[in-house]
Parts: sequence; C-alpha cells; structure tokens
Amino acid sequence: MISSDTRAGIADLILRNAHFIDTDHLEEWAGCFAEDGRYVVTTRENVDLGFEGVLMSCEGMPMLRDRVQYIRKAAVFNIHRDRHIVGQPLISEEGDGRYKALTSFALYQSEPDRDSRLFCLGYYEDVIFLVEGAFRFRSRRVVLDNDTVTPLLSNPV
Amino acid sequence: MSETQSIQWSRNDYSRVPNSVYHDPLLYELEQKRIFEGPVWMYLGLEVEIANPGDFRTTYLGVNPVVYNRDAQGTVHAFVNLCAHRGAIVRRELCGNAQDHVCVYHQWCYDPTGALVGVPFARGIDGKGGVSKEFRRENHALRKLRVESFCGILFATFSDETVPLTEYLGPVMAAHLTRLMHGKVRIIGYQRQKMRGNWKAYAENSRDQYHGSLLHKFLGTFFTKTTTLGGLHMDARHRHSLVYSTPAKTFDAPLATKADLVHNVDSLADERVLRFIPEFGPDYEYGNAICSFFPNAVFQQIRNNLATRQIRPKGTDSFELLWTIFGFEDDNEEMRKHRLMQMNLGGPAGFVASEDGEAIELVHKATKDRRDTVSLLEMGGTGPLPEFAPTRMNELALRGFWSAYSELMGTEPPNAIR
Repeated sequence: MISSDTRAGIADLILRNAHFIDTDHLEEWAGCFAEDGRYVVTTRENVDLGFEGVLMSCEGMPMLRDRVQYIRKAAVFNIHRDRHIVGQPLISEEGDGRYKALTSFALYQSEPDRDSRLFCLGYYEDVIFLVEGAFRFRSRRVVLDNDTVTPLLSNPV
Repeated sequence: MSETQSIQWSRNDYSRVPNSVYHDPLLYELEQKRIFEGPVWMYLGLEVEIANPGDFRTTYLGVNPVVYNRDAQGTVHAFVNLCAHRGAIVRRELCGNAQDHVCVYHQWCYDPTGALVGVPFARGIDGKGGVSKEFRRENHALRKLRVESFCGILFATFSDETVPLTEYLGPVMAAHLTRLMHGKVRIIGYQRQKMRGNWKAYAENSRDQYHGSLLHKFLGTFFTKTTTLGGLHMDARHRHSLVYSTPAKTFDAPLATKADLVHNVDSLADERVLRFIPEFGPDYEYGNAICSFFPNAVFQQIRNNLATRQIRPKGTDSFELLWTIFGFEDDNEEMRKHRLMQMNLGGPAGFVASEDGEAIELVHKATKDRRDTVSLLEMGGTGPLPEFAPTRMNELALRGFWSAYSELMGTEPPNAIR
C-alpha cells in the first residue's frame, strides 16, 4: 500500500521537474536527480527493436550538469518556449524504498514567428526514491512516440 | 521547369550559389530524375539490417519509397515500394521477415526480387471478370534497383549507366570506408531528425569544415582548440568528400580574431564523452572524420561514435535524416558502454551536431522570400578544385558538390570547372 503522502510527493517531483524545464531553471532540473541518477531520452523505435541507442543520456550528476552547461554556454538551437503537459503518474512499489512511475506527457514548442506545435509526445519511465527526506529520480527514461525530432533537441524533455 | 531549365551561376567555379536553388519546386522535380534516378550510387542501408533470408527493411531513395530484402539464397534485392496496380505502398512496416510482399489493397503479391507473382481473381469468378487477355504478370514487376555491397554497406542505383561502385567511390573514399567498417557490424540504435530546409543545404553542411568549431561551440568551449589542424580529401570528380581534424596537432601561432580566441574556456565535469579509444590502427590520427557521399549519405566517425546518415528529401522545404549508429560484434563491455555514451555527440541532440538543424533552418527561412540573393563560397580559395587541402578553413567540397550536381542536372555554367 502506497501512502497518499508518497503518491503526492512522487507526483510533485514529476510536475516540478517539467516546470523547471518550461521556466528555464535547468540547474534545478538537474537537481531533481540523485547524485548517481541516470537520464536517458530514446524513441519507441529503439525500444521496440530492442536497441540500447539513445538521443541523449546523462550518467550521474556531473554529466547532468555538463548537459546544462553545454546548453548555457555552447548550444545553438531554435529560439523557443517549452510547455509540458504532464499526465497522472501510474505508481508502483519496487521494494527497497523505490517506486516506479509511468507518466504520459506532451511537450509543445512555441517559436516566436511560428504557430505553437506538438514537439514531442511520449512517456516517462521513472525510478524514484527518498534522498534525505526529498524524492529524487534514481533513473528516468524518456521514451518518445515520435521517432523523428524536428528540428533538434536542445533542452531535456 | 522544362528540360532546358538552368541555374544562373554567376561564376564558373561555383563560388557563388543562387539561393533560389533551395526553393525552386521545378528544380526539385528534375533532381529526382537526373540525380536520384540518374547515374549515381545511393546509400541504401547496412547488410546487417537484413542479415537473414527473408529479412526486409523499407527506406526512401530520393522521393521513392524502397524495400530492400534478402532472398532465400541470401541475395539482396531492392525495388520501389509502390504497387503496380494502384500505386499503394506495398510493404508498410519499417522492417520484418517475410517470403513475399503483399499489397493490402487488392492483395497483389510480389516476390523478394519485386516480381509480380500473384493477382487475386485474375481469371475472375466462374469465368466472369478478371484481367484482360493481354495481361502478363511479368510486365508488371515493381521497379528494380541494382544493388552492390561494399564493406557491409549496401548501395543501389536505378540507372544502367552508373559506373562500378568502387570507381564511383574513388580510392580515398573506398580506403576510408574500409578502415571505418573494420569489424562485423552491430547496430546500436537509430536517430531520426527532420529539418525544415532543403536537402542540398545539408549536403553542403556535411562538406563544410569551416563551420565545425564555430557553429558547434561545444568543441571550442570544452574540447579542442578552434585552431586544431585538419584537412580535406575529395575524389577526382569532387562528388564526395572526407573532412577530418587531427586533435593531436594544433596550430599555436598568435590568434587574430575573437572567434579564433574562443577555445578551451571551460571543461566538462565528466570527460568520458570526449575520450577516444583507438580502434582504427596505430597510424590513424583523425579525431573526427566526416565522409560525405554524393548524393544521399554521410559516413561519420566522431571519436568512437560511428554512424551512417541517410538524407531523404521531402519536398523543397523539408528533409529527413536517418542516423544509424553502429559498433562491432567484438566490442568489449567497456567499448559498448562508451559508444552508447558517445551517442550524445551526434544526432538531433548531439553536442557537435544538433546545431546544424538551426543553421539550415535559418538559411531556409531567410532565403525563401529572397531567392534573388546569393551565397558566397570563397573559403579555401576560388577557381579549379584540388583533391586535397591541408586545412579545415575551406569550403572546397561545397563547390565540389555543386560541380557534380550541375553536371548531372545539365545546369553547368559556360567553361564550368569539374
């Protein structure tokens, strides 16, 4: 039995994480992960064919911070605003204080002189646990239903 | 555009490119006939993708949907995936294994060579209906392509005129691909990217060494100096190019401009993504090597991130890239993990690739309504094209692309260089 506090805490982490991306608080986005947390973006094509391949991956906090540093200092991408629409997480207990959450999301992009458009659609597959009283991602796998990205992926999803 | 359509080249060495070439719909149609269905080899896919008898995959060569598959005897065939009956896509799946290919619309059935082997109710029902007496199945095969394999890479052509593949590649590209495909290939995954621009702008981009450390600031910020040495090889006809950098060699003379000075301003907290594990022999000194293959592919080595990129035109305003990332069966566990991590370097989220999507869209957006403007290609010099340049600061392979393109299109200027 998962307590309502736990459910609320997990749902809050997932929502807050999306909000950090939409409001360009990418350092805080990285802070939602455990020190050895893992973040991966892949596609349904790779998952269905059994390929390990990814679009983006970060193994541990240094690499999460490097991705953010790259976006801040070096990346050139289409000027846009992100907007996540996040569904209700489906939470199950994994044992050892770990919870698995599956959450559908839609990510829209708005570019200054173009119509807003659906950019990515898919689901989060998260393993979440308590670190010093706060829920953190042990791992997050973002699986995109759209195998094709237009035109590029700059921010995390 | 009529068969006599021309491109207004203001110089015979292609150092000026009219920006209308990215937008003209009639030019686009002619490209399909004269380039993609012309005397060229196109990158089809990898042998390993259809390793077993019956394995098939679907792809696009130019605007043509294409199936490539392996028959029971192990021979690879490719044909246009468009039903001879009503023009429906025959094989809808991305990949699979099958003995034949059946169109869902009226169940016309084709064998692995593309031959029509079954037409339901060809004789009608109870002697009534069915095809005409003149109908012969052998007259209605799917359009076949010739297929050749080189180091596990499959190439296809529509034309009977196309020169043999090794001749088409030329010795430098052939040697590089041989070195690149040094083991039994293992697919790691796919990455797909769509850009709202013209396919030719991408063919130029992958041949453009000048932009490397300038647009992709990751390199200059976290990795090499922007003054790292490198160079360019082209085949004798300047269709293809191999652009490379050699991180071990850096030019240390005084720097003049702000752009030159942007180097190593920061470091990564985790540098594993930049590491190079030697795999191409002791003499290999390329940190990255981008081999652009005319007209539809790139073969890439960025550190240990190996990939093919297939370019698929989707109208004048759009194209898709299919990145096939690979390693080798004998990769050890360390190399397997390393290649997975270095997928961060390429593809739509790549540290040294994603920016191309933005650059190409910026060009397309601005020139769409200003087709009267021209692009300037003078880096590395003007006039006749060499086959080798010992510098990264050149745009020679872009002029090479336009030279090969114009010859096939019949749009060469007077006294054109080749």
